[in-house]
Amino acid sequence: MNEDSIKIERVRVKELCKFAETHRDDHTRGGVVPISRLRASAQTHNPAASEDDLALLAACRNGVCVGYLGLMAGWVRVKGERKSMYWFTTWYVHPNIRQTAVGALLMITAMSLDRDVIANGIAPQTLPIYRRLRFEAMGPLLFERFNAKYFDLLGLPWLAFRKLLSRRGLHYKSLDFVFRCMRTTSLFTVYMLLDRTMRELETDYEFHSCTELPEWVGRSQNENGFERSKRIVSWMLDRPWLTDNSDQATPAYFFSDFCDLYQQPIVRFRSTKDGGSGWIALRIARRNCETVLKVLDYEVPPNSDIRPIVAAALRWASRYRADIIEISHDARLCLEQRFLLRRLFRTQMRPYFCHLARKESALRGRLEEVHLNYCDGDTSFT
Amino acid sequence: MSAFENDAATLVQEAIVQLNTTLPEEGRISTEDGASLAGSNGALDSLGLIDLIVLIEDLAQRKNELAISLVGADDVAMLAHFSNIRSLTQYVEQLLAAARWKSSTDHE
Repeated sequence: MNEDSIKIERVRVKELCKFAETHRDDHTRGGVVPISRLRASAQTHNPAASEDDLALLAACRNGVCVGYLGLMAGWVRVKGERKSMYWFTTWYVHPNIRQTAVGALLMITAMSLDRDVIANGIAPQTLPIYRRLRFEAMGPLLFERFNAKYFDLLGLPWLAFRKLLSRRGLHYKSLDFVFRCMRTTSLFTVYMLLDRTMRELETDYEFHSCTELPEWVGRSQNENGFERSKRIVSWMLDRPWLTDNSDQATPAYFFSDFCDLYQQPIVRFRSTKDGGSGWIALRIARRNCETVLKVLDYEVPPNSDIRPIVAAALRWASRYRADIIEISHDARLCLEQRFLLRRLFRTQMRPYFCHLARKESALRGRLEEVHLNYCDGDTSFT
Repeated sequence: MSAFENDAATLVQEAIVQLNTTLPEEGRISTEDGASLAGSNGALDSLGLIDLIVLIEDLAQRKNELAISLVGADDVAMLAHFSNIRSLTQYVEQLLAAARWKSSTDHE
């Protein structure tokens, strides 16, 4: 075989950390770093993965990684029975060799595995590929998003002015400063206006932060859906893929893992009316002067509404002046009932695409029954 | 060349001709056996390779009434099948033969 030929390596969970270490400098040799140290370590502790499961497909030329497709083992429940499957997590090829169909070769290899594979968090430019390869569509997942830039009445004029200047090749740092001040003022105003709503939502509930998940996490799992047991949720919280510690980050990795701020608070709440309790896991990350709050997992008491979840999300978003808030679509009714929230949050869609490995796959003919969750796949990690 | 080989070669050639109608002139693939398809010296990018795969599968279904999947087998050597037209034709020939055998046993 030609020395320059590209080979696809199948990296198993047990080999992942060593592989990551071996290839951590590939970007200096005309290649790409295939995985960050944090991701490699996290994947090694995935409770849904055996050590022989695959974690990465790496296209290598002369021993240098030039492209990769990340896999993450997961479980899907169908009629209560648990089945193993893979999530796609990353898919990237060095720009200089994109004309060699390496991306397609990685995808073809993934499709040839003896396990169902599912992609969510899909980059728009890759949608045609999934459709052409006849991946089956699931969902889509609906979720609610607040994005401050649509309500930044003070900052928008400055942003427009800055763009106008940049088109003429002019750039002033002082304008960036003014823009950030305007954005901060707008956000402060929005959260000030929301304060009354937050207090109303918090009525009849007590909240407190904690460091551990309650014992009964996972009690309300759907019979058909992707596993969100305590083991999985704990793993997600204990092994994040992002960090605000530069010593832990892998700066050359394309899917950057460094944040200026990274927090994963767990909030427990209790109803003062009937004593019902629940919990919520949040993720706050700040990168490039933008703070994103995501509501990861949560459970509310049986026959209870989602009001405390929205309350906790808004309170923490206010604390960190989040530019973006993302929360489950379950919150839509609660948002609709409040004038300001109805206008601030918009429903978004996230497509899922699935390739079923076999005709007798447990998911075949049942894709519409699978309950989709905002935290599916690697969403909660990225 | 056996009838099966002829079928596979015809399918692959016809798929390439159809694919070439969608490609710019400078990006069109030669139909010679040794022409590279995917890999280090390949003529196709990812979308091109996927389009070619889909065309071959569709043609096999329409013309030979056989359902084949070029991406189904968990075969470590699978990627070598897409390196050039000759290897792809041989691969398609194997798939067609397997599909014919399955079809004949299903009818018994």
